[in-house]
Amino acid sequence: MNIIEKKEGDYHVFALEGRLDTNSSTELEKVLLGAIDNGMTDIAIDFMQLSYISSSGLRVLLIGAKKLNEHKKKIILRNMKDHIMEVFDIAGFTPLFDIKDD
Amino acid sequence: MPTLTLKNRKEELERIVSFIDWFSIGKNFSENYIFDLNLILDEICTNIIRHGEIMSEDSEIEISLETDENDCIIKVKDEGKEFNPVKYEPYDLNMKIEDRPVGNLGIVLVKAKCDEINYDRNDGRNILLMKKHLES
Repeated sequence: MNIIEKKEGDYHVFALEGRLDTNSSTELEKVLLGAIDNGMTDIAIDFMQLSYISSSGLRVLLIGAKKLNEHKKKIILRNMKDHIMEVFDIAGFTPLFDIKDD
Repeated sequence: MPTLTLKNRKEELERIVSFIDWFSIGKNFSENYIFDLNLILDEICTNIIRHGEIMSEDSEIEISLETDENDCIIKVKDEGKEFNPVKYEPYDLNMKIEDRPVGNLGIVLVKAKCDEINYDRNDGRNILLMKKHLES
């Protein structure tokens, strides 16, 4: 998986490319949680180029969401494909994030 | 029957992707169906490697796939500690974010994606047989 980081106004955007699975989720854990721990609370993750997500990926996203919740904020998730949205629905994750389509 | 044998380590999980791609050739599976097969096998095998308490990295996880008229039949055998996913009860998935535990969603996803799951323990091995209806 590739993670591309960029600034968009106040937002810190992480664009994910490829597969977010058991092995690649540790990488996301490092950069996403690192950013939050460094005080960034306006965070968006772009799923446009994400082809796969497993429970290991969900785990990292939930840890991030819990941390931002302490600042009364939600992670924005953009451009989620239908089959990935379905996984979010099954896990009961949909209300925990701010899900947007560009 | 197409079979894949994985060793008991995380790096081996990557081999599931190409096994399913190869199995799917000529079967008219949609992209979503292939995604679901990947998710089912990834979650089951991740669970075995993480929680199976298997000491040896050479212990084998045996995966096989076949189709009949109605279903894709997914079998997984492992030498880990006894674990019956059929009996696994998830926590309340509608819990407030503050209270939600982190993790343990793999079996929830597998149950949602399979139409039938059967578990058997035999000769020190977990034997899981899952069925997923073929798309009409």
